Amino acid sequence: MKRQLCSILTALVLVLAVRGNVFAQDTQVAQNTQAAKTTNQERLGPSRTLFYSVTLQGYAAPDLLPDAEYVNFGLGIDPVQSPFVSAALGLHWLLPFNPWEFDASYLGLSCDVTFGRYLAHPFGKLFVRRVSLAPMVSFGAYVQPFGEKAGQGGAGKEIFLVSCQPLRFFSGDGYYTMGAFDVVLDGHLKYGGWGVRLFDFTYFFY
Amino acid sequence: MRIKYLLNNKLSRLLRVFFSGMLALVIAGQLTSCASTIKHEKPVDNEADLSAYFAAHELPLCTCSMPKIYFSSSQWSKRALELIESAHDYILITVFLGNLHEYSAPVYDALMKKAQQGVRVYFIVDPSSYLQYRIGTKEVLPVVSQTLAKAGVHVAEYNSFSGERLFTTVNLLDREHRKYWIVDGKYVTTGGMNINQQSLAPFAEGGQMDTTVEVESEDVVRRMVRSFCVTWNAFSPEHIDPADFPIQPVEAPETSLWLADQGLDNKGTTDAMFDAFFLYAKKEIWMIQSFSFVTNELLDKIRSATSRGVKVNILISNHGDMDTYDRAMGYCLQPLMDAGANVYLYTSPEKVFIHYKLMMADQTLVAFGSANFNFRSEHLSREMEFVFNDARVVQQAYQNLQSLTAQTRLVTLEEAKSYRTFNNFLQYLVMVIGG
Repeated sequence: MKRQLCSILTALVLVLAVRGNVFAQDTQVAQNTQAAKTTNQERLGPSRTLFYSVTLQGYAAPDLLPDAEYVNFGLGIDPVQSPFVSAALGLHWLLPFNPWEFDASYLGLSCDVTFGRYLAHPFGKLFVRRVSLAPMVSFGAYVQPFGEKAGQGGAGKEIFLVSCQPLRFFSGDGYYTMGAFDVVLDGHLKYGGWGVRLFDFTYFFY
Repeated sequence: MRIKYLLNNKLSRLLRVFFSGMLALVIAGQLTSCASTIKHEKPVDNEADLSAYFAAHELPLCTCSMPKIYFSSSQWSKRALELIESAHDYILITVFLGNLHEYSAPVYDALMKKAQQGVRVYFIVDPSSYLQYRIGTKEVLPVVSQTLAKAGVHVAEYNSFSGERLFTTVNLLDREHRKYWIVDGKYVTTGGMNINQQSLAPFAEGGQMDTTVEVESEDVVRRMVRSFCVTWNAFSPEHIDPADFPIQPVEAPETSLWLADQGLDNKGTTDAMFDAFFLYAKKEIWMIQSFSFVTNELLDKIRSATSRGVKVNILISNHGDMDTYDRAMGYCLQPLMDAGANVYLYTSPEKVFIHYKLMMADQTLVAFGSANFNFRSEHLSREMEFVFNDARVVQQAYQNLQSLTAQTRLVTLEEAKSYRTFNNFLQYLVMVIGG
């Protein structure tokens, strides 16, 4: 299963990369045309790159994560914000807050891969402001530094979370995700359960 | 039932305590703080020092054409329509308040028409526009964002108040207060005028007295196009680059200006600009500043000048369209006078409110733009000013100032003391952050 998952992801990345190159070539043509008539050649990176995030989520992975409502606080950097494929890095604190179990909280590191930013999408009318659809797959590695309540034996101290966020929207000043789906893997990358993220708010720092 | 209970009791109480605490901390910090930038600066003795001061504080000197100054809404409305009509490639506009009204409609109609003709029109508006009422009524004026967007204008809201931004907390205090236009990479304007009822209606219908300054300048356009793009990209999913907006060179610049752009990339620019006037003046400073909700830091600037024998004159306006502003401003009169300033109250027969923001030192240095002499403009808002050290420009501003001072009266200390009420103090606390 792990091999199949890797193959699918590799294929997806390749398709998007090729697609990105095609668009990039178009953009380059447009840039060259523009450059011929302007004295201003400056291209900008993202206005802001450091972000913080708040996520409300829950899991059905009894051997790894206790039944609870979880809040996930994140801090990270999103340095590229490419219209094609780009990656962000985040530090996370996954905390069961209802019921409160501080000892069962996890600290983690994630790599968040955004697969394009699409200004034309069917959800535009849900928002007052213009947003682009920016689907993401996040790969997170978490450790439980404060206790062993969540784990059975040694495996529970480390988990991996793969989160698919198809309904993720980019507004320039942040990302808003609704209804993401998580897969929980144990320390040996074996399936350990699933989870749902009700919402995720990610904002760039000023 | 439980949710309702939570909202009505625990949550609302928690939020009240949180926001009151934040507000109290910020205000207490400001009121008790003796931190002042001007205390660490040396007086600016001559023109060379002035240039060095601005360079050290990253206010660039830009060559430009002789500025055209529009001292009335009718002059500016006419010119705004001409500028839109002349556009062939792009129009970039940032305003604090953008509301639909009979007097702003012609400008918006012209922008939408141009967008439909293929001219690229980008429009940044601050969501404070959602809090605007038709003058003298409780009717909320519609914000122009959706109307423009439907007509093909690219629109971004600066630091939106929308629900999904619930967790941005105190960042919401940051507001886009600049008002500037860039047309076809050639013309750039700034000043106090928004595109709303107050800025564009005639005096008889509640319009305010205000000013917009227009120049042609390759330097200013280049910097402001960049500033626009940085701001745009921070609040829109649609990425734009300065290279997308051609800039036209100015063949024979006639003068120069210092650009004080307190955009997302530039913090402290407005404060540095204020300091420049107080450090440079030898004889006299004139300020038209109706929203001078002063703090210790701002009073220190006045004291630094008056202690050197400089006469500081502040012209404020009566007849504000909000009681809160008048009360807060009234509360600040005595501290201004205690710092050595002469405060003049403008009381025209038409009951016009002066929204115009001017700083002038020794009739040789003058600034036009969006910045109020208050904590918000110093630290919490994006602001933009043109600063000129050209007698021809200063003379125009001085003549206009003289026409205003003819309708002012000097505020006495007794009168100022009469405004130091507890109610006015509460309004002041609100306006220090919110004004």
